[in-house]
Amino acid sequence: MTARVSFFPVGCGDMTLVRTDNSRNVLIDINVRCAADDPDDDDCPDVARQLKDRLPTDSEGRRYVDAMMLSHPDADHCRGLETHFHLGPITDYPKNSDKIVIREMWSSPIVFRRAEKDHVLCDDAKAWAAEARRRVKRYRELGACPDQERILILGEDVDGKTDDLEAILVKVDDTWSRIDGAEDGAFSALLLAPMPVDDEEEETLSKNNSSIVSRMILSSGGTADACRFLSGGDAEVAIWERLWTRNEESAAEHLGYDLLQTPHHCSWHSLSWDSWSKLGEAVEVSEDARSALGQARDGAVIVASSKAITDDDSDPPCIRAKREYEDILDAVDGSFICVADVGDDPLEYDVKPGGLEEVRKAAASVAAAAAAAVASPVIIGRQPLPHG
Amino acid sequence: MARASKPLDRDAVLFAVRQFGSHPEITLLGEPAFTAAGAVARFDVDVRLGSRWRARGESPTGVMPYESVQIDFPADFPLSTPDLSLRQDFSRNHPHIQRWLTPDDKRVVPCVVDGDLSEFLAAAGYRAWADQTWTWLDNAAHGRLMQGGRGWEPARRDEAQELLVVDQDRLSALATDGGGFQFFKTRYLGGLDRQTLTPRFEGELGDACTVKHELRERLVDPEWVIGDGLAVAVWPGPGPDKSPFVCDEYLPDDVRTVADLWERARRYGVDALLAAAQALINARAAVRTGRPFPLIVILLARRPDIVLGTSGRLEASTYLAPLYSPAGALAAPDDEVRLVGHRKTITERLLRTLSGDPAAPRWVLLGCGSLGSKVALHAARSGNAPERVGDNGRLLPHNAARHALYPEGSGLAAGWFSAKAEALAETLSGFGREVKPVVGDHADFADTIKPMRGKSRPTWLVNTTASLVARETLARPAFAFLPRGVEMSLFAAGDIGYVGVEGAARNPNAVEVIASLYQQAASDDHLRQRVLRADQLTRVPTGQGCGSVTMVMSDAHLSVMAAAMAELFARLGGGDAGTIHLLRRDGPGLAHDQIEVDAFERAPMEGMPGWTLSISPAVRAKILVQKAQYPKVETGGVLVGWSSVLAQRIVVTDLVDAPIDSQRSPGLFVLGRKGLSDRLAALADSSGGLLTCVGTWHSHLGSARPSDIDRGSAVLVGTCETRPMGLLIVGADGFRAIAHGPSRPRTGQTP
Repeated sequence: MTARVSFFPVGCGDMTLVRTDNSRNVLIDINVRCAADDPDDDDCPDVARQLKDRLPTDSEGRRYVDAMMLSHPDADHCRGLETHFHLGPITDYPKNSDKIVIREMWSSPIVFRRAEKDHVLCDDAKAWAAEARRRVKRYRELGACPDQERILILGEDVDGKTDDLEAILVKVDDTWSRIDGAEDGAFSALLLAPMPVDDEEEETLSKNNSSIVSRMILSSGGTADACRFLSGGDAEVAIWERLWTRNEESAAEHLGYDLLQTPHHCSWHSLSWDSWSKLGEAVEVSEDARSALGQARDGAVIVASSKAITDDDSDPPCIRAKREYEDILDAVDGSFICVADVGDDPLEYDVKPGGLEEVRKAAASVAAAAAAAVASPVIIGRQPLPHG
Repeated sequence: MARASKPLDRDAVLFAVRQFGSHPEITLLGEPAFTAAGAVARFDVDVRLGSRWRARGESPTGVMPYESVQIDFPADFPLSTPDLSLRQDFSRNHPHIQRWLTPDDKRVVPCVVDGDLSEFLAAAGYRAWADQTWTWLDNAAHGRLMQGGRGWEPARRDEAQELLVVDQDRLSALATDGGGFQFFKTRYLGGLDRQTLTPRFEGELGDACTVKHELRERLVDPEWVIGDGLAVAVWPGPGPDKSPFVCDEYLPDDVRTVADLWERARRYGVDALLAAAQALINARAAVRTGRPFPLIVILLARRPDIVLGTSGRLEASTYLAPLYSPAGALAAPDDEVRLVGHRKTITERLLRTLSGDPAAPRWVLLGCGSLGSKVALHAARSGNAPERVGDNGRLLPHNAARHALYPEGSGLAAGWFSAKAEALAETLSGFGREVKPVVGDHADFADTIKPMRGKSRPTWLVNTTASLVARETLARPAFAFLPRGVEMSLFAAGDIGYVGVEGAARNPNAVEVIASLYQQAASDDHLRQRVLRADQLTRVPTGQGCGSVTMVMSDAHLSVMAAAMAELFARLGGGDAGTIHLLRRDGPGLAHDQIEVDAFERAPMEGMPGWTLSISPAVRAKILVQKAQYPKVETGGVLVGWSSVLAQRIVVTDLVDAPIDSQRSPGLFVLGRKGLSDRLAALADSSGGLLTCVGTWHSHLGSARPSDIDRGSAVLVGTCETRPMGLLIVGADGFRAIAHGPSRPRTGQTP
């Protein structure tokens, strides 16, 4: 099955499904708003349904993702976790619940930190952290993770709480290509952040800045480097500046992308220290952050997972950030697109040897479908070809 | 070409254009332009290149994000097929481009449909053509026109006027990683009217030879010669990195001159080797005429994948170049070189590819009559001809009614009178394997098989003689060395087809299998009426004083059965059990039943050397059950079956329980008589008298070793019965059988 990246219409939040060429599914963040779960609400797409429709079921009939990465524990990145996902031992899976099994969690080490004044967690984030710690505990007890209860910790804990987790730990600048405990020959990922911080930097390590920043490489039909996908949760300008400093020498390799999910829903704060809301056009872009986010390859696509971007002082999403991204794309004949502009269906790209190919949407309504059918008569049947 | 002068059917054009343009990625550019010559419609095709290639303006193979497609409708459309073409500068370095329709100054014609386009359009329509076109462009963009990884598509050479019959696998087999060249003999038919080259060359690649092979031509017609010629095949050695040189560049075959040929050789990595071959040719080739001789040059390019239609990675590109005396060959750059198309020799591999049948185990055919010849031809056409065929008859006029071979000529039947085995073997040998004939009977045939050992030993012996003598004789112990038999025959005027397959180690053998069929038929009205009828055959007069016993049926009727039998044979598994396949005519078709026949229990018959008592698995099970029911006394009953003097075998297929007046005791079982005659008569009646009493059985509490009483009974039976009768004993140590041969005529005494 062709590799595909799907961005769900979740407003200002992230919910992205990466399917590899080997049909393994990696979910990055979720934001299933209450309205999306309300069948009477027509304004908010039922993204949980959209996600489930794209997931396979196991032999027990349970839907599952091979891995789920939570970039950071903000509500707009984990909303709906408890409602739609099974947390706890797989043996406790409630029958006929339609909950999604997370076969392997990809979590930042922030789950080892205690909640503090600046580190307030929503219930879904707490549930994620609890499940992550439970899986780590099982790993420590058994020396290995049980099937369907695996976990990878992406990044080292500053207090050494990940020191004994080598087998399930990915350090910054490491790459990994295992999904749910098995190599996926059509996938690899480079961990760019969260980076270890010293005490002075501690205060910048807000939840946003604890975001996992990764660069995935997806293969397509034997083309190994078909798509590079850079995503960074809500990482802000400080992180991107540091990433540039660390990776400047190998920028094209480590930061180059065909597909970029704008950090923090197209926030200006990923590109600048200045406030767009306060300074307007007087803001200055951080050259280092722009460089880190500017390694677009030919024809690159930058996706803003946000509500519609308006030409005003709101941020995020920020019109100034959009302009900066479009400027980046000018040089490579790329395109910028906001998920909210696409409609109620996910924005999806197939990964082809030549790069990304946007998946055409089906007709949106019965009337449109009928019109399309008239305009595009499909073949009803073929005459059999006799052999002579 | 226009076929009618009636005005262009505009509606038909518009329908076609609308259907083609209804593809979501295809846009009609303006209305079709109607002219006296027809109509032209242009379309834009969004090839949906990936983002990176789209930004760069083209795929690595030169396909642009939007490609223009033109359809030219002929004046007599839709009676004639429209033409589809791409832009003039579309890269020609793709497979599936019709090179001969695509000179440099014309638009490129892609081959988007495998097969006849007119048939495709009639079957699938214009929207499907659009799908094919889009998919073709998508594949071209991704360099996937090479069959999506299924193999390397050889360059199309449809325009080649010259032909060479060649076994590509043979060429592939001689090529080594080290590179080299090899000369071959050719035999060809060439046009005489030539200036620099023969205008028409049809040849066949022969054996390998040296460059000194004598080249000569013989006039067979005012305009044609038959020649002995020379070919050279060149294959690449290692490349600069010491690994075998691989040419992964797809190039249309547009070699037209000697200079082109050398350039092509360079790309294939064989130029140096071709130069070495050229030096030898120029120095030593035995050209004896002033005219140029046709030199066949075969360049073998090593490809990165299996070349489709072959079993190897070498693609052969064959050319015809002039060989002058004394100037030599391949020297003048502007000399014309012609493409030579390949025609495959008939090989079993080719036939298997086309039939879809796998290679069958080796087999031999006994019986070259109508059924055998047809089954053998079917198998041969699937690349699985028999190793040898045997028959003691000759083809007679009446055989022309149904035999797979047919008389040739203008009615002189004398040529038809050759031995069946020889005639059939000669025909079968044209299918890629030399088939040996054995003119003789089944015993002669068996004698020729005995020396076949190891890999040459056949797995199957197919007997289509419909000869009871052959069947039963070959079941004798003396022929135990024969491979497993498959008997094919017809019953009921060809309405019933029988395929009896012997089990592993010939257990069950042919007589045991046929006896099982008789047993089955005895309880199946339909089968009984058709199989167990004695008047199956009719005597057909074939000449003065001659007659042939045969079934009256048409060739088509027989062919229906023969074809099905050939298919059954092609799919025979290697299981241990024997099998009965029954084919029954069902209207114009056939119904098929399959009955497994497990191995028989065989007991040598003491008192009748060479004889065996065969007990069917069902009978064996029944006997053991009854023995178990009487653990403390002897019990017994009557054996029912069929016997064959030729096969030296009594085959037991059923039992009749002991009459109620039988006496059982620990040391003796006395068979009663009450009602027994009636039951045996009923049994014989149900089987047309075929299945009768063939002996008795009784149990021993201890060993099955016959007692004196048993032996006495056997002598008594042997004295009184005209038929072979067995006395079977089942004891704690298994089965034993005794009998007494019919040593003297019956005298009228009763036991």
